[in-house]
Amino acid sequence: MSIITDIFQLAKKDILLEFRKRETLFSMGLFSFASVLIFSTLFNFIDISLEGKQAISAACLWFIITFMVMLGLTSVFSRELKKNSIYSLLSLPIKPQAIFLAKLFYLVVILSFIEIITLILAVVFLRITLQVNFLLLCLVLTIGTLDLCVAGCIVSFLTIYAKSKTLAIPILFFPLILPSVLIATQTTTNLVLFDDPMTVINNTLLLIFHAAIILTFVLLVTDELIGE
Amino acid sequence: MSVINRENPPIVKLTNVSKVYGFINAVKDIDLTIEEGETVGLLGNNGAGKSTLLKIISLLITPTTGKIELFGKEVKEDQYLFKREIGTLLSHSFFYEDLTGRENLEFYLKMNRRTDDHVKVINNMVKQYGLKFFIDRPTHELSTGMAKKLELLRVTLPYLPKLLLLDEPFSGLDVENKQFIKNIITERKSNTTVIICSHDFNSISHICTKVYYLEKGRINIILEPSEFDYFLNKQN
Repeated sequence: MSIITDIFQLAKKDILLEFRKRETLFSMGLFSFASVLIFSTLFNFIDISLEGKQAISAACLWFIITFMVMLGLTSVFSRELKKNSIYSLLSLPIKPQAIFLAKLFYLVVILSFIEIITLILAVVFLRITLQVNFLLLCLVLTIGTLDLCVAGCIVSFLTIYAKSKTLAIPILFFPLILPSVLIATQTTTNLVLFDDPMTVINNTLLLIFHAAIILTFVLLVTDELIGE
Repeated sequence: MSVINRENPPIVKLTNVSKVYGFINAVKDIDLTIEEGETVGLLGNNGAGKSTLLKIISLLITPTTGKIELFGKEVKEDQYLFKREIGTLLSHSFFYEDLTGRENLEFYLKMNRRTDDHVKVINNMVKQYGLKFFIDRPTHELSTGMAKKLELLRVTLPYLPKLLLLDEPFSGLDVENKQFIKNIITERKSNTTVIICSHDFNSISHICTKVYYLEKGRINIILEPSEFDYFLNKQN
């Protein structure tokens, strides 16, 4: 059980720091609000059916979530790297896997917080209807977000010591998440338009499979990734 | 699971340890044995390899070549088990600057699992060292001396670890704070092995039982206490 306690303590510290400064939350929230507003304004100027709008809205939602993960990624190790004190984490008597899982937990928590707000904004401004199976929509959003966060944390780990993170992060992140984003978008569109539970469940399983593969890989090589 | 071998082996044994950064040999072919209870100084100018050697011993970086044995066991896998017995104080702070001193200390105490009663340990420490006015302030508001005091308490609470590694612990401190740190090291050093990095021989000569002088990544001179005065005079 000690690894779970370690993960919880590390994540709690990061969440506390984030809610105290609110830098990442603010930038993610602002980006989400601005994006929803821009897409909603665009919909007022084009002649498109309600179904078409809903299909585009589902894509917009995943576009916003993807870039919110990108914004969140910058904060994953920022506190440790700010003063070159990645050693503060490395000096702790904990398994390196605990560090990875704690950072993942932190990213999922702050992203979920903003995602709830984004979903409300999307319902209001982008007219994503919730008469569809709401539980399935939540499932797709949760698994899709988790998948993106796993990929994001791996990229953060790979680029801990990279000198040009702004270049390295997108180069590694986008190819890794492209299959997930495409599947998640297709699934959400399918759910909003056709309410077809079987396709949604099959696609969700694909997302889980994708997350499980990369998570297993990264947990096997965490020692090497976090070591200098 | 404990990593301490009970047959009284050397606390630190490095065999042929080297560390290369790109084309730079930060540390070259170091052989070093440190026994339990010793207070050892690593002396040298900037860039001599002292801090790199300290980070290798504290398992923060992996040597390019060579073998590390700590507490009588070779360090290979499960390094986190060895880290339970090591307290490391580097020249830059480990504290999260937006957390208060109390929150930082609580975090490290919980992570190091040295005590279950974090509140009591911290409150006792606050009383003992008169830190009441500083402990609940964010650490970025603290002076260098106060921050260093708290950092030292981070690695020494509630008791000293088996191996205490200090990188330039006296730099930037006034006489009072220097004395505070010296007291903590000397008062309780009997069961703890201490390694101190410094470029200033004066500041460590009074507390060290042996000093290794490093130059260009190699140990050039090993000084015993009887040779300290001679070396000090030569330096001056």
